[in-house]
Amino acid sequence: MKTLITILFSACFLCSTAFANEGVALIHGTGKQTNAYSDYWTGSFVNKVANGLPNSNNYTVINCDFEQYMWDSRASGCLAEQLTSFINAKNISQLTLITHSNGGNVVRWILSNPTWDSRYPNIINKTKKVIALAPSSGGTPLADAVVAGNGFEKTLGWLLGYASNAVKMQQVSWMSSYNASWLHGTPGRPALSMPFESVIGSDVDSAIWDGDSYCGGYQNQVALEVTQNWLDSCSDGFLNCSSQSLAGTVWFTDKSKTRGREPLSHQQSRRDCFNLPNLISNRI
Amino acid sequence: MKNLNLLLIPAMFMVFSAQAKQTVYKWKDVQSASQEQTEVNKHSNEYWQTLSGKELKEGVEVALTSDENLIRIAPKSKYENGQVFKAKNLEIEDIKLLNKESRKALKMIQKANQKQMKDAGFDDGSVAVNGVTSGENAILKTDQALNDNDKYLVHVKEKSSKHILSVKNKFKKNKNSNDLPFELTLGNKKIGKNDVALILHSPNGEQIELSYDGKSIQFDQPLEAVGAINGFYEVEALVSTKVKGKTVKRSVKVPFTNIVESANIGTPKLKSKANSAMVSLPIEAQLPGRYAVKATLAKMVKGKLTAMETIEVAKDIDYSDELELPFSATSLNKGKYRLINIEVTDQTRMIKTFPVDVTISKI
Repeated sequence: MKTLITILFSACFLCSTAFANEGVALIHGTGKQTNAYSDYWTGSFVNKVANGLPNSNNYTVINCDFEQYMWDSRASGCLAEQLTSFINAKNISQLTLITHSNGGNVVRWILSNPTWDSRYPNIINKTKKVIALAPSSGGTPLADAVVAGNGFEKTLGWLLGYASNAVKMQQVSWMSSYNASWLHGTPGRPALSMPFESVIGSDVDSAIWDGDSYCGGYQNQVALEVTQNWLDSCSDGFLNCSSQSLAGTVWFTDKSKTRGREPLSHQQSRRDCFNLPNLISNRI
Repeated sequence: MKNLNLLLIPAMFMVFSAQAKQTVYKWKDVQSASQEQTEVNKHSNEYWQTLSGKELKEGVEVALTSDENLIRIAPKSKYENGQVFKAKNLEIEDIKLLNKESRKALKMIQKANQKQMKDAGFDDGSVAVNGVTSGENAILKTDQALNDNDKYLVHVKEKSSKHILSVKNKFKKNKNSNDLPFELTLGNKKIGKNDVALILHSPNGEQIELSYDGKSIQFDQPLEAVGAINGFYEVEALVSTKVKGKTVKRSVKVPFTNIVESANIGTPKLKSKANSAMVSLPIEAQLPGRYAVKATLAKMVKGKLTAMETIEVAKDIDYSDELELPFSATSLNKGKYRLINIEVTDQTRMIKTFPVDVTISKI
């Protein structure tokens, strides 16, 4: 009898695994997106990532207003709505969330505050893992630079949006307080209930003679060299490595796995550069 | 029988609707106690200063303590009579760094002109330079024909400076309290009230000057916004002091939150069921809103507590209500039980409180 139960139990487990319907959601960073597929990620990146799924149609690209605080209904509320619709429409049972930059914070908000919204528990229970590309888990000194001293400053629009609530939120001391009280996954805090694996961008390569500098747009690479003046020697031009690695675990730091051991700038960590989408595709 | 149905159906409906309003989450693992944030510690190797166009044309002292610096000069905007007026963009070729006494030119490296700053996202007509003073006192000056009354922001970042401003402040201020412990040090030097100007930034963007006694900030009137739902309050400190005869300037901004205790919990009651343990927890809200309680069920055996399961429940509460915590633990008939590691979250205002553990009484 005991053997029969064991066999049945194992069979049930295998059935449930075999019939798991896996899906992927790509979640953008700061900014208000209406066509993140083309404008934020590019089709090349998205399609290569989706090829890692048993059914490559089981993906969604999120378009929300991440210029708001992470708890705002236009940010995490919008994300919850789009994820719930995706889960229901495709009958997803195992979800991998792929985030970039501040998208990692919005996802951590949902995972850390499960009763904030009645849609959160189902999303959390369906989420298998988070792959966080250059997450701004510890904020960025650039947000402090934007906010500091100037009430009407309109700077770093392409990276941060304009002095929005999301920019204020990503100041280093503000993120420190959110991490201490509201978000899980950082040292000394409760762990997240699923893996939160970060990909770390450690440098910006903008040598004009180096073709790799042109992946993601050469002008952006030069720009990130300027922003590095506010950052540590290990940074992706927008975030210090210490911020990117603060929550969850580090999956890899760019040069350890990218083609040609190229660094991933903050722009490149969401683009089809140096085999990144294939690495993700093999991981989901 | 009909009468019984008439009684049971509304009762069942009430139970159902009470549960339907709740959002319940069962944590996969037992959650440990959260540590409440009590302090903010921040360090600064930078400062910012607002100058007029007239001051920049005449030349103004710029406090540099390291040659590894970045000086960004940005036009500011001002708001007058319902209109925004922006100061003229800056031309990097017109900017000079001079010795303060002799007015001889000091080495200055152009780091980013308007276009380069724009490409980097600083789309505000700002420029950035690096001043190499080798310890000489310097002034920053422009030959550009700026308007006297226009305002400019000078932001100096000194990455390798040994002069680091440290601030330590209390993170939570009770709404009824008039002060906030706040300490500033520059290296070993304690910054007194005469060396600092403090500005309060409210979550809705208002700014007022603050008074400081060297240990605490005093507030003249109660702070209105409670919780962090619209962002934190911030204190901005602008420090100017002398170290070995040389001026050192530093700025820093730190957040804090203004809180009230907006809800209290009562004594939980255990309603044992066949395969679950429903714990009913009274909650009384001083301010209406959505509240969550996260708690771990623990069994007391021979004076030792064993944590069993963590559940979080949230609900809209106007005044007084009960939260139902549906623990799935079985065999709860014997022994004493407690709710431990309790965390009450006012989700409407974003305030967390951490009540002490409570013993569960049986019905």
